[in-house]
Amino acid sequence: MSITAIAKSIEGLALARFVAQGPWVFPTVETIHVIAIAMVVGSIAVVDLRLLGVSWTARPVTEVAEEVLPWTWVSFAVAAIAGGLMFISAASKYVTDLPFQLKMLLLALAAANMLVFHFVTYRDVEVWNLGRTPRAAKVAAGLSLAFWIAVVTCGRLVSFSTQNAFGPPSASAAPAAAGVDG
Amino acid sequence: MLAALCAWLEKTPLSAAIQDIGWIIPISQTVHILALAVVLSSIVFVDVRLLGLGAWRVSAPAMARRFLPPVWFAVAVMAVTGAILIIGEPRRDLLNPVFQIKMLLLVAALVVTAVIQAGIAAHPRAWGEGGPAAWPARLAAGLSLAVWLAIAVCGRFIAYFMG
Repeated sequence: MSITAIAKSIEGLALARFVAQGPWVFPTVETIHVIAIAMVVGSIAVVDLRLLGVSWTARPVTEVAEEVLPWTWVSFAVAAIAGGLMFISAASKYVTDLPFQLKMLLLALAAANMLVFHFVTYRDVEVWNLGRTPRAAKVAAGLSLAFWIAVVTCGRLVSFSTQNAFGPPSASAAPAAAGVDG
Repeated sequence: MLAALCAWLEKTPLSAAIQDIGWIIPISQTVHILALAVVLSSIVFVDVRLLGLGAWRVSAPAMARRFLPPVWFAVAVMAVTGAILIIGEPRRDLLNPVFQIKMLLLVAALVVTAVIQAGIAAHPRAWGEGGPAAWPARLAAGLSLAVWLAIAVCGRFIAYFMG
């Protein structure tokens, strides 16, 4: 079975059709996705900027991470669920879309960067919890910021390149159809 | 009057340039969303601290000192990128009821945020220094959360309500 055939069968799921049909389900899911990703990026930046020695430098890294990262994870789960719903509603358009493919690659890179940081660099955090952060931690923080900014950029481009893949199905059902840059 | 403003804006060379150079609008939207990430996360962290939610080891006033200054900077970035989007496609925004509601909510949000910042500076005890925040502070936090989230919702729905 080809990727396109699998994607087409995903679009046939009742849940996928529910998201694709009707004028307001997709925009609502999309709004939740944007708010959740804003929380993911904004909260991760708080930890990254601490590691880079830019802000909250008087506070231990572990405290900042423990306080902020739960919000990141909850937001990421919401963003992933909302994103998944958007994906299944037009799976065949997304799988062949370059910005979407890049976005998934960047998410994988962000995850790999986080895993390396967590299981290697972060292990001796007690040594540099309050002092200067080691170079490896700063590199991880810089990469994290870069990857997430790139994820958001690709996310915005996805809706340009998959235009009319979603939104109100007809102009008569809603005040206006989704714009070309919906 | 707004329609006349749109007609004038559309004829400006700046509007034409924004339309013609294809990457300006998507890049402006992307920077707008990244600045939203700063605004929303900062506002949420200050407000949940005031409301007593989350496992924070620092007081609400300390949270406000860390998170509210970046909000004003990010709002300025959003004003610039938003203005670029308006000048490029004035009818899409200025004649759009969702955009108009968003601007009213923005005024309210800026007032509430300024009240929170000023309140914390003037009466840190009532705003959570050394104990839970008093009810007016919690009310302001709840209002701030609601209004800023509503702004984000309107921002996305502008694309689905063309004026």
